[in-house]
Amino acid sequence: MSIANRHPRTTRIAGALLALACLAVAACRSMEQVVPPVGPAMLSSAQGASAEALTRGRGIYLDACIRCHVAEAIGDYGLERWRAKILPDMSRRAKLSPQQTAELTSYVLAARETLDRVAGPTGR
Amino acid sequence: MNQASSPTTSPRSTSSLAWGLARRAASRLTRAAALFALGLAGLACVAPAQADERRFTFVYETTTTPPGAFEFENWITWKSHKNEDPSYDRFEFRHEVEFGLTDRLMASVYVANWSYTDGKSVDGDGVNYDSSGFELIYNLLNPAKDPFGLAVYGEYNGGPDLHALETKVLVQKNIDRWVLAYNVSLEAAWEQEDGLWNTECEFQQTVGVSYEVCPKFTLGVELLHQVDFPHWSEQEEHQLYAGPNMSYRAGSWWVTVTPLIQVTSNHAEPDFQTRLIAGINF
Repeated sequence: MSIANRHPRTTRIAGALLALACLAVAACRSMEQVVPPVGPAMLSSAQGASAEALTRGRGIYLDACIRCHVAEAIGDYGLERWRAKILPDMSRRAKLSPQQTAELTSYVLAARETLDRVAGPTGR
Repeated sequence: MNQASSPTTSPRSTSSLAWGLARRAASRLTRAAALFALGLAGLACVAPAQADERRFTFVYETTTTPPGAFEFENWITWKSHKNEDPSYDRFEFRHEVEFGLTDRLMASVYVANWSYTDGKSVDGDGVNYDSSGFELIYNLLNPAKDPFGLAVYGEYNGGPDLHALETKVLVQKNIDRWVLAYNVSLEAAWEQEDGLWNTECEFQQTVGVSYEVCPKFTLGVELLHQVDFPHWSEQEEHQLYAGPNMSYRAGSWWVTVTPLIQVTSNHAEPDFQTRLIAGINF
């Protein structure tokens, strides 16, 4: 006798959860949309930071930030909010070194400025 | 706990038996609720400050505590109502200190695991110190950067009547604001009962799906599947639990709760279990 026949209620619950999960995943933004990769457009907003430093900054974003919460989309918050509030506060909480903080800040601000240039200012 | 007196046919004694049972049930519930409330109150006394928290209570994530960071966690698991003993209640407590050692390795010390058990089927009601222990988690892959997150987990618990070793493989994927996590674990336990040491193996799988509504609040579901192998040979009935979970964080403290209901019909295991974990970061 199959598991589905032996546990019909369990099978129905599992099926419903799977369908819900598929729908939810289909509506998600990709990681490239949430945390844009370093490219030529971003380098021109980087104010002197190298491509390697920006790439390390993106790596720190994806390593350190997701220990506590999902990777927030960079475009969801305005440039000033990133600069004045989020980056100093979160770097302290994640116990980043001064160099890590500098690289993370360079990446996030360059990514945010690039988004502003391409799509106009967005975010909270 | 003593069984209820034998029923008789006289209306007067039937009525007094019913009254006695009701009083006993009320007293048991009051004690259970008071103990749970006491635990919650103790957790609520933790002063707020900042965050590094769990979004699941039965499922572990593959991410680790940052190096140099400390966290103090308090766990309460309330298991209740077995089909073969509806009066059954068990509260399990854990006080844990967690710290990050490197970017990928974290350790935890279980200062104390203790429990309070009550029910007609329980021989020695009351509070019992169970064990202390430690765990290590080593992260191998990042759930946001790599195709999926992967970590390995090892745990030892030891007490007067228990030695247990547990290993887990943790898998996780972050997709936008969703976190999907799966754990598979195998535990070998040596338990002393009436002067004899028994061996047991437990196979467990957990699945969690969580949605981060905002950075302070997540909602999700957890599934727990478990099967025991007494003496490493006989296989007991499967148990499957399912239920919602939610997590709230503010400043440096956070709290996560998951009430689970048994969706299989294993009469020897509790029908309900609720786990609450509260933590504070330093």
